[in-house]
Amino acid sequence: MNQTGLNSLYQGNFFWQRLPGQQTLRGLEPGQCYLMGYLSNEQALYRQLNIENDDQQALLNAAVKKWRHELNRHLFGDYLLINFDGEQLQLTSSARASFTLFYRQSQNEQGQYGLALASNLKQLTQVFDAKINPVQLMQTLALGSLADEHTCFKQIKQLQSGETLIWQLAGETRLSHSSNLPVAQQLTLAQNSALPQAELIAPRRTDDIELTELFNRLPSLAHGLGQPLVDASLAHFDAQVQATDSDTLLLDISWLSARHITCEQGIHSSHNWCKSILKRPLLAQRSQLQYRQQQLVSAYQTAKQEQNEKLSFSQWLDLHYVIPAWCQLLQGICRLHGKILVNPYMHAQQLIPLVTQAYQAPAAYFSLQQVSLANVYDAMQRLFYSGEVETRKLFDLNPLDTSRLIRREQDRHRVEQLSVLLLTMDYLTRFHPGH
Amino acid sequence: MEKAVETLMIPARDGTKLACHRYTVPTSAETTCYGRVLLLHGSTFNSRRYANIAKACVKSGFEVVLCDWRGHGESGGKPGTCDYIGQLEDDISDIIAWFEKEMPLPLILGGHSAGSVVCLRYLEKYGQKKVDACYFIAPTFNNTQEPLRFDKPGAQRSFLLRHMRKKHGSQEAPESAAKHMPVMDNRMFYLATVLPFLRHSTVITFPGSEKMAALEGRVLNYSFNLMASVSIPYYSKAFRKLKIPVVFICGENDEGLHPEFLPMLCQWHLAPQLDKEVVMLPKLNHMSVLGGAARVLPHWLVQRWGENNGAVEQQLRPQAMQQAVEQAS
Repeated sequence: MNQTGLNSLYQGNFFWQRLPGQQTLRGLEPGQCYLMGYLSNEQALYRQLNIENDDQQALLNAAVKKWRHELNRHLFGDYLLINFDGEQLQLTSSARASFTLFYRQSQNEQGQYGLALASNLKQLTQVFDAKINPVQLMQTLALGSLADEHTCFKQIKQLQSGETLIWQLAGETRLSHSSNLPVAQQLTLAQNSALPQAELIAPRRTDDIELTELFNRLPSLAHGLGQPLVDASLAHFDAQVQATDSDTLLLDISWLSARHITCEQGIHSSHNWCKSILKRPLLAQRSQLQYRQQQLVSAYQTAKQEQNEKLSFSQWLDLHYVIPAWCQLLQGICRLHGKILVNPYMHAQQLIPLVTQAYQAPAAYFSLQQVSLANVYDAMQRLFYSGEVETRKLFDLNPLDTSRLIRREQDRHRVEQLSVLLLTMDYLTRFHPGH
Repeated sequence: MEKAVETLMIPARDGTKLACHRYTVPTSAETTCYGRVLLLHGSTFNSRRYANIAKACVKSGFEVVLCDWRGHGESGGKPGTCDYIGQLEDDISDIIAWFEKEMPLPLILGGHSAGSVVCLRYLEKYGQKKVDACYFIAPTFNNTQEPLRFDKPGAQRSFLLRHMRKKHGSQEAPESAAKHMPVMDNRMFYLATVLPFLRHSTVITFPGSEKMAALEGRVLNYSFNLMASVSIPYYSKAFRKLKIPVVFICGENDEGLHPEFLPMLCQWHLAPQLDKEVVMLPKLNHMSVLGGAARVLPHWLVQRWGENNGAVEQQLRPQAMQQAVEQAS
């Protein structure tokens, strides 16, 4: 793999902005392609496109020229590609990409559009004083984190895996093309045969973990990612990434197994388990959540009819929405440390056994016996007394309801996730620049 | 010849004279005064105990002002009480204004034990405009249970009321720690809460012999007003506002503070980009940490305001601080 030139985007954060009504562009050079991630068929592409001297910029320019909207059907690997030709801005991500880009379209009083792109959500939330998106929060609580164009902040979207977006920048800024590879097709296109050399990240082991350290890692990680954390295992992963020397890390399958799994019964009674602590702004999103669930169910039924899908709905959801979202989070953590994560688990043959075997949620890290100070359950309950107004507007954290929730043995992992989400959301609100 | 230590009697806004012991940096061609360190003593004590910290900071080029709280040490005022809740931070404000008028210098504000809390209350009330950095040596937070190392009497019941569930495990204070714990007169406390005219009566008594206390100039009985002036109900809300460099110095064997509290505070309640540091000194307790602080604090100050002000690379700081910690312990 070519480690020079364009791959410099591996290391740093990317931010580009065009203000409404302004013609100036900041952060991109016309005629340049920017690649975040890696191509697994790069050598084959050099031959196919007759590019010599391993000139990756020339290769990408030629590929964009030749395939344009269908770039991700020909360029394999795990990447995000940004192409700016002076008039158009194209964003393309590979099938099942773990690299993602956040974007925000804004409109000024004159109705003119502006656009901002960033590789880190924090860059956008801090610049634009973003507000929490209750629909997405509700979806996260009910179904876990799903690969979705919406983020947990209003007006900020993210490029989905397999998606291509093209904006016209000459004159008015407007979206001129949007296409997405179907989820099933993404699995067949995710060819990862020639992987970059990488150091295998240590497998996930929970027996010798220092829980106070894990607890204290949650806020800085949430701050780094710019979003509330959905699971304590992300902080565990963060610690492992920090402990490695190499800049390129190979994912161990045990980290995929740490993801949130929504069981079949859980999907249909999705928000009921924590209903008692949701306040009106969140409860009002129930209809939107049901609508989203219906959309997913119909996509699943179509897949069942057309592609003879054999997986159950929750397994299908896990395969196409939960795992990609989880991989994006893991990649985001690696990028915080200036590293990239190579994911060798992209093929259907590897992933289907993983989703069919996932019948129970991973064990929770924290227990009620742990010292109160650094215990997510106690800390969540303390938010009733000292939490931010914004948190208490969305959640009714009265001790009676939260203690009932905490004592539910069968949902321990889910309650831990809820506690982590609430605590990190409260933390981000506390230090938000607009606060 | 210039005196190394002088006691200044600074008038507070109500006319009470507050004793401030100033340790000055000897003026010569080779020495420079980089800043002024204001230190508030812990509850019951006075400035006498803190001379070692002052001398160490002076050696590093910092003028030090040890302030006796009103009613303590050589300061005026009625021992064991104050006129209203919050009078101590008003006193600090008056002291800062006096020194600023005399000669402005970068100001580093801090204290030991309850003195830290008074500093925090000052920063919350008056803001950080006049302060360049702050330090907290073995701070005490008694309003909630979670920062405490050992359970207070009634901790289980208090946890049950706050969390509506039983607390798992309890950590009773061992005899060695329990003997230093103050005794609260709950009846008087609740009466004083509702009856303002009782707020000068004793609600909390610190252990110690009256005779020895008189010899050492200690005050063992505190009124409701004074007790409330040295406590902070919501530490999180006060700490999150900090925008100036801050260091916490604490002994790992501190009898009051849970050893994991300060790292937690730093991560969860201080702004993420803040210049913040927690120094936990092995083997030291609530009082013996003063010896350790005399080594660590000057080092921390020099790194920020010393001769190589700004030249000390961030990555070198932990190593240098590590050496100071090892010496301190």
